[in-house]
Amino acid sequence: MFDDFFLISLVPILTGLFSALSCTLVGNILVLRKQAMLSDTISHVVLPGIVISFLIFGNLGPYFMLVGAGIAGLTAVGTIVVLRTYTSMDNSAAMATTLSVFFAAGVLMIELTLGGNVHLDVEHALYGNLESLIWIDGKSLMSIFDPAARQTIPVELTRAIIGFVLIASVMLVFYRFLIVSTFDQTFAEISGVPVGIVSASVALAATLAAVISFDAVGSIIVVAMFVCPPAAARVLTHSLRDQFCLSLLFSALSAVLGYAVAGYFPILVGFETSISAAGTIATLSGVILACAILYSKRQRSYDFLDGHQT
Amino acid sequence: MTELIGYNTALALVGALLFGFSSGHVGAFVYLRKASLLSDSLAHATLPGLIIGFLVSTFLGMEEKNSWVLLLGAGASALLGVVVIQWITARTKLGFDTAIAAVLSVFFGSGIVLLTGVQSVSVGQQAGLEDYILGSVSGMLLQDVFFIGLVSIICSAAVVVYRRPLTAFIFDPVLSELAGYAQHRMSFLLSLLTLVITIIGLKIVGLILVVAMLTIPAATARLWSTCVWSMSSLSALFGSASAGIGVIISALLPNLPSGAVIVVIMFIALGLSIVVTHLRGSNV
Repeated sequence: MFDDFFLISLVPILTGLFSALSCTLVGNILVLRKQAMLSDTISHVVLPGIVISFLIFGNLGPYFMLVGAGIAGLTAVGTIVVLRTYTSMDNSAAMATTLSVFFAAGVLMIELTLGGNVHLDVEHALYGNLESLIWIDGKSLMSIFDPAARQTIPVELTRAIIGFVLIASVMLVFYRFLIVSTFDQTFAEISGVPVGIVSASVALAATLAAVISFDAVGSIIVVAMFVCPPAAARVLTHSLRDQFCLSLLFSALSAVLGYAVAGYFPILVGFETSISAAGTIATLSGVILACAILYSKRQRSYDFLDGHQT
Repeated sequence: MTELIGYNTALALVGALLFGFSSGHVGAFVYLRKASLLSDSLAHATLPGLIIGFLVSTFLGMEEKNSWVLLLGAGASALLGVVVIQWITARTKLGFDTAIAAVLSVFFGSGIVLLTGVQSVSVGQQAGLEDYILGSVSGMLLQDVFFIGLVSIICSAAVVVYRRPLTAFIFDPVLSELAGYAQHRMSFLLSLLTLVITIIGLKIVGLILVVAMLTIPAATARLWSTCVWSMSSLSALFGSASAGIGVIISALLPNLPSGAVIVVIMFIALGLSIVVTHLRGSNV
């Protein structure tokens, strides 16, 4: 069963793991800022960015894709600000408008330029395809130290690791800025923290995390990685550091266990093929969240739909 | 009319006009309640129900295109989504936004697990399922249009009947409570209307873009009017007009998904409205 572990399983597990960890890092901030749905908006919005950079650069530049998606993410945040300024929209309506328009534009662009394969391509964007990341030269543990074999590691994994390191280090460096402007915006402004830049950077970090995970786990399951582990940790902890640590643990657990369940459970039950790893990871993170809520003590009570007002 | 655009498109057009009308109508109140993204969450939460409905109808040996069972399943799982959102917000300190994002992603993720499971069990029979994700009016039958039309009319009628309690509930919850309309009941009514509109919109615009039908016409109408009655009527008209134009365009140009076309048209109307109302100097 484990003979082909390095060939088939290692790269998907690591890609899923680092994608999930990056999303969870940013997700902690989003959940605390009551902007959880920003992750949903961004994960829809990167589609036209990726399509445009594909049209311009073709398959040549996997890193250009990041630039295209980053620009799309920032344009979307700009659109949200413009809509909130020039109409009576609240945050929720502005995000709903932006995400649907960008996604629709992306779908139309695929359809008009790349031909009739739209369902396949959009499906790929939605569901991701973790299972396709095969490391051809991965034969044993020693392959990791073999430079020639390392050449064939899928670029998705490299991108996921670079993205994770980038996000983690930027968050560590600007940790105090980030925290003060999240918890007390007025105080942060008085103290001279550039609150606007911090907000834009959070959106940019969310875009980066969404894009590196996009190929592997698909745009909607990304949202689960942004929201569920931080929410579960938030319910169980009372300090920010605990919340960060616990959420990363939950995130890693759902990523690794989710892949294992998706790969091996159907075989054990007796089906021929496996089920979607990305979907299983999302489902597992939801199960963890549900357990956390059931385990935690009953907290403050909210009116339905009014939870967002504090 | 039918000679010009074909029987199938004429059917889809009627369905889209009626659905656009009622989604704009309901959407006006959802917009004023600032709960637009709830429908996005519910739309994604329909996926596991859709697939279970598909499995059930396959096992019972029904026709492939039988949309009743699918929509019933979709409704059941979206209703479960509403209950879970309510449970999370009532029981924990997590915000409404976190609750809807969690429900959206986890339900959709489990739906995809089921979908890949279905694909590995019965290959090639799930062709109808993809239409619900991006929307497709090409395969619409007369009974679908009857169903969509009937439900749309009921939703619009409910909005007309409950316009005063809903308005009071949105702008002055205490007044609505005193007048005998309990907040949780009005909140549930609005969630239920959102849910029903979301379900019948799956076929026309698909589950990813249905949220736009409830949001963009309402936002456009809000630019042109300052009272709830005229705003909701305008919103209904905008929704109906853009859905109709979108269906015709997607029928004329082959293969364009109807949902995406409708959303782009609605956004153009919104952009024009922003420019024109600001040039006129009217209030927002």
